[in-house]
Amino acid sequence: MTAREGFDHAGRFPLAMLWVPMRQGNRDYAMVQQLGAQVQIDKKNEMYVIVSAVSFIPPDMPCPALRENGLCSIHETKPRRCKTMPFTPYREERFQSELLKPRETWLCDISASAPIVYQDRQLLDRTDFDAERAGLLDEVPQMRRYVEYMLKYNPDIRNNLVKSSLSPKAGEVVTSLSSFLTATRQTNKAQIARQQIEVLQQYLEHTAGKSAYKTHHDYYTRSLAEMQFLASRPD
Amino acid sequence: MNECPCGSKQSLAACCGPIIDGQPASTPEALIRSRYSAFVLGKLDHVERTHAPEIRDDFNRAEAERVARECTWRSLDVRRVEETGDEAKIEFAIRFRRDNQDMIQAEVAHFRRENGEWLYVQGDLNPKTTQRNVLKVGRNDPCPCGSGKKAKKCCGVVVTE
Repeated sequence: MTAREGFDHAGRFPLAMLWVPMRQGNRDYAMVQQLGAQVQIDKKNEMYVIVSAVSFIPPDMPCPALRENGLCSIHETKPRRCKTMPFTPYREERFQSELLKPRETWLCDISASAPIVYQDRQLLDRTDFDAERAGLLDEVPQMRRYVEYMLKYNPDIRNNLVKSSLSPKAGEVVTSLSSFLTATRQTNKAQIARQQIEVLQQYLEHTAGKSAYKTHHDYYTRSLAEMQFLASRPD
Repeated sequence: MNECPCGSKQSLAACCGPIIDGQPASTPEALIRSRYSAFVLGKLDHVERTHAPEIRDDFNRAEAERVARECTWRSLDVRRVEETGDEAKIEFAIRFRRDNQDMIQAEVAHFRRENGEWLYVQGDLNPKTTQRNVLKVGRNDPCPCGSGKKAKKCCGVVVTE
């Protein structure tokens, strides 16, 4: 989701920044070039990286906004990412069909009588799709500044991105909310931090003592310490 | 005596203490030492204050506060100082323990003197430095620090933990 949306939901999601690198040759490269930031691999080669705000929770955990009846509790204001999935803004419209192949975890209607959403390589209702892209495009300059900042102060990230771009198994590159708040000079850091503290404390409890959740648990621990500092400091 | 964390073997009050409390550092080396000591002591106001203006807002203080507390700081090793007028370059390494792992991080830091005060401008982490020929100092040779003592009795003292 966009950083704006992340901040709007700072009292709900444990926020982090997710980096997804992509190399030349990928079919989505042209779209990613528009929405991402260029990262030089070496003198001759480059890649593009998409950086977005994410609700950083283990994949097998339910969304905190999910009601017991299986519906979204924030349907009207949920992030555009939730509205447009399984479509993705990082792929051209005409290539989106394969994203509609039902996945095991989907609980929605996938029968033949389900409403048609995509036909003749076009989305039937593009309102949310366009809105999501517009929101991401708006934040491109800010995201590029952030990427530049991270490459300058955390040069190791370049190697992690290269590894991750070569093998999806190398894992996601996740960076901290505090680094984004600093790099982009957010003026309401203390307020966002106060909202995050409660969320992070909850997720620390949910993920305590389970080795499968270690990556997430460690992130919550670090982020909580940073948010506690930011909350204690007037903006 | 409260020994200075920077490893100068002087007391904190005679070494980094006053600089951390706001006195201008007289040399770039004094500044880098005091910045390291400030990390050890968790007094990061000093670190923030001695950043050059163009990077001051880039400082992720929240992260630095966390890291300062998370790490066990072992030592600072100032390896080379090059001072030319109002600019300086210092090569140093810090040793610390984090997540049960001993780490060493080398950096070439750049400094600038503004209104008589040295400021930290930029650091290149784990730089590829040109190879240097190092003169070996024998145990019985005079200590290169100029104390007049033998190296083995001075800076070359081997501490076994």
